[in-house]
Amino acid sequence: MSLTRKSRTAMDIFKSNIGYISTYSKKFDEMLDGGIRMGVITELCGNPGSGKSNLCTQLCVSVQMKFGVTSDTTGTAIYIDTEGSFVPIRLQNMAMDAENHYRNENKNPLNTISIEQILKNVTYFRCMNVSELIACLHQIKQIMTPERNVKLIILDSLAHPIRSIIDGDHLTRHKYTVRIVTMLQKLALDYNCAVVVVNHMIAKVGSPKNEAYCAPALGDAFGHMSQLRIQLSWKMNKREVRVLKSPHLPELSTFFRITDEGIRDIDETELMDHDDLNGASQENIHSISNM
Amino acid sequence: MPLTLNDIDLPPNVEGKLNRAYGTKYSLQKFLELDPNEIIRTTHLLPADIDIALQCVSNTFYPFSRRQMSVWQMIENERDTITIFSTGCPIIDKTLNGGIRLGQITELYGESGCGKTQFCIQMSLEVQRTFRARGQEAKVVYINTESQIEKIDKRLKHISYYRAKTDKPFNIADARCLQQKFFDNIYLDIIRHYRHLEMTLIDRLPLLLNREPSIRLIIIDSLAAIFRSEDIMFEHHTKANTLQYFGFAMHTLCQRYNLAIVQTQFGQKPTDLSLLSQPMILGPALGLTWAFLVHCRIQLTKTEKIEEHHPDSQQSQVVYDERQATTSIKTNVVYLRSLSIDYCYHIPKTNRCNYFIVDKGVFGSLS
Repeated sequence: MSLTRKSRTAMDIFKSNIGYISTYSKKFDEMLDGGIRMGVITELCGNPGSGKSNLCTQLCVSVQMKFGVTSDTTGTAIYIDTEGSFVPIRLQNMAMDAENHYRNENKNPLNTISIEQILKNVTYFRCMNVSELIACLHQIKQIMTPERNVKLIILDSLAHPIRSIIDGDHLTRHKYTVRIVTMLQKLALDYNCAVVVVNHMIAKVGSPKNEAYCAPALGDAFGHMSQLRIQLSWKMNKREVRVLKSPHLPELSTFFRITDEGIRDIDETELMDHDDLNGASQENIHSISNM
Repeated sequence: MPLTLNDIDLPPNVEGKLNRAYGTKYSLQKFLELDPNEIIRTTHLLPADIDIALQCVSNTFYPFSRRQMSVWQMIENERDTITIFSTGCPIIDKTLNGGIRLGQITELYGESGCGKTQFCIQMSLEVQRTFRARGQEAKVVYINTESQIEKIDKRLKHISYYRAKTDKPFNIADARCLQQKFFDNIYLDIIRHYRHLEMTLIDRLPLLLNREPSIRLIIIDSLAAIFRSEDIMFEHHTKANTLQYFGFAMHTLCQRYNLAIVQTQFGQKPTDLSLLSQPMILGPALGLTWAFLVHCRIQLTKTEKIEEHHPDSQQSQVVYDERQATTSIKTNVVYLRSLSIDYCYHIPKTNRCNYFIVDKGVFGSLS
């Protein structure tokens, strides 16, 4: 019985086609060197209202569009919602705009995908606690068939059920986090799909000046398990995205905006909108700036 | 009744070993929470058997046939059911993309005197009207944490009288009857200690909801007041844990019984002095932990603006214009306040409107 696996060289990996999922914002995609990668776990963290769930919904649409995913394949998506913030109309609006845009770009009517099909290709699960999440992940293998062609799994969010474990200390939470993320890693590798995990922020106090700052939740254990960590925030009334941790991307940041149609680039000639001084932006919920 | 190991079918040797280790009454939820390595150690089963066992347990605990849905199916389902109820004014509804959504926690925050309680009272009547228009019945649970029950009572009487009148009653007796129906559907409670709120969320409300499945709205006015009492001393991380516990309980209630929870909060000045240079921006009092538990956060602020010539107001105001050095009297004045969306998944942040409070209730203004 041969127990050796076929070995791969770095050149094999370099030459293999790694798919990306576009975020529909050019600057965002440039910063990520293509988009959200397949086969690895990407972490999105940010304060409430920074746009994490909207970005996830946008990815659900773009994974199905031919110009959204490079290497010329498309796929379906699975959306696991633990917080309950998902509203289907939002996905429908994003899908309608993407389908419109695609139909205008590509005049061939045979290649278009209908909105009904886009909506049918996103499977939604609602998990209320850690046990339901574990049960859900155990069974997801059954629906990862080649016909279904799932290319994107979104977990929105991981922090909510973990933080809701009442009768447990840090060790228990750590064990659950590791278990769930290991299952997701296995799914990402085996089926070569992109996994996006949404995380919360917690307020910490830094020692030198006793300042409060925000750091991603779930601790360092989870910090090591994702391949790419992106933070969404508000800076001076504009939405900013920043790469916090990545093996090969520089720690850049860029701006984007969210419209009715989804994630888009910010208009460079737009000056700061003075009328939009909305109270309680992220910086004010917990005083000083993000890390 | 929670599911136990008794309720699943496994190959006999696997089942025998599991039953010996854990007993047949062991709940499936706890079984899923166990570490698989620990299961291997206690039962000496092979990993492949454990895998089968976990698959069976997962399948029974969270059946994909019932829980899996495509978004297309969700939209089709939403067409036939009511998922949003109106707030009582079409302008405010438009700002909220339809109204307050069921299954989500909405938060209203603002300084004192903004009209949060007024808004809550109006919503408790409007939810009944929205459902009554479709032939269903909706009841409301109103949890008050400040002991101003007479004010609420009086206000309820006023607004419900006007609402009853718009439903075109036959005569005064019919109007009183409609008004009484509005009252009968509101369960009012005064809770002032956080332990009582905990008991309510965990024990009392589920009992009530099982008995009265037509409850569609729970109002908690206000949550911050419970955490402000002087006689409880919270260390900062116990407060976060308690808030998380409450939030999780509320999420479970919302989803299981398909209702909306609206809660109000105070805005308080930020403690950082460097922010005083900016115009006074108030942040909500309960902090970052609570901010993640809320689905839709609405900010209410007072403004300096007024609207004249409004038929529902009897007030007038004397205004001194500095530039032209004239004094004028503005009649039928209403004081405008501003409603804006702090964050919400499906509502753009730029949605905002002005509103005012008069005898008849809270209404939006187009100015």
